[in-house]
Amino acid sequence: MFFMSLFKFSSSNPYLSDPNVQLMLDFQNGNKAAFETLMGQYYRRILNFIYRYLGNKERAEDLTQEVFIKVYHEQNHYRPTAQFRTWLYTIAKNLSFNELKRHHHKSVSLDQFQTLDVEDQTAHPDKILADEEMANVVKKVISELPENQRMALILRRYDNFSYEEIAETMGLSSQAVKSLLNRAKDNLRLKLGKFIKE
Amino acid sequence: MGCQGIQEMLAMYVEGELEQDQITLVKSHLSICQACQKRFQSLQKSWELLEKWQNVEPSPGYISAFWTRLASVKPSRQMAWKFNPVLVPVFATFCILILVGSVIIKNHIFSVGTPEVIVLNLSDDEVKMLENFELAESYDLIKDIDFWENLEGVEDLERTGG
Repeated sequence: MFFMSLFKFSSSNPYLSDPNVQLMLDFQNGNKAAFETLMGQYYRRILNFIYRYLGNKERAEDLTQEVFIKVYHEQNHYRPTAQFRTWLYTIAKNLSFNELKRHHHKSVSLDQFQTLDVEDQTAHPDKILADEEMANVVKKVISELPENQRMALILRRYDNFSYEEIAETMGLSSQAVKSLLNRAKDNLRLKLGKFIKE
Repeated sequence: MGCQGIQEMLAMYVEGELEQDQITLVKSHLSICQACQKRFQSLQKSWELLEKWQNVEPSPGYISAFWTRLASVKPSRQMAWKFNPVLVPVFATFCILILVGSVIIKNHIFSVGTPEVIVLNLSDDEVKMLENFELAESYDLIKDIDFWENLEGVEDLERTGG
């Protein structure tokens, strides 16, 4: 505890340069507005991260609240041992994993979807419908990925995490993350291939 | 490098995550291999298709909903440390029993005693006996012998030379 306190306030702690870590430390010192700022910055991102992972918006909203409730209650125990974003997403990841174990989310059948022309960039009503259908196709395909591939893909594609950040969030090596992403991309290619006009 | 090696790099090539020399190698191969080129295009298009899944917005009033829920939830760490008053008399009784037991055990040990305690509790006869340890060691052997009767007999024997 004593040495952790030293690390927290040591000038050699690289995470102190993260402005969001500073906000969390301000919150720890009683600045409630700092917590509101953090929530304002990350609420939507966490919501969409969990939503894409679970495929259910209602459940994602519930878990997003749990994430920030947990952050709020960690006020007195927080130690800057990682970038704030990595720490926050790790909480969201753990809650999402636990949720997935408790519930099995049913998949949507893809039989209703026809082959789409994704080369057409012109905006018109048919194109809008196609975009919505394509979004559902993408959602379905991602939901069918193995859990770890899905997590790595979402962090990379939608949250722009680096390989190292993904590795830290998921507790894996960078090489393992690269392997996961390679397999995820290959799975996407195989599953989305029939929806792409050559 | 053959198609298999190039295809293993295509997933990272799609994101521009290769080193410059690897990029050059892949580009060169793709320019002459239609199968790998087709695979790369499929990877690239499927990667781009992911952006079709747009972000969702939180439900209206999500901030007030959060604060309302926060007010109703106790922190798990505080709940773990909450003190149950029902256990107070049980714990107190347990402590008292431990204390009393330790005192009893301690007194029992001292009643059997250290050598100093034993000596302090000796009677006068026992003390005299200890003054002559040799006699004490033989005490059990000689305690039943009537010295005075036998002593007269020994003296008589010496007098009579027998």
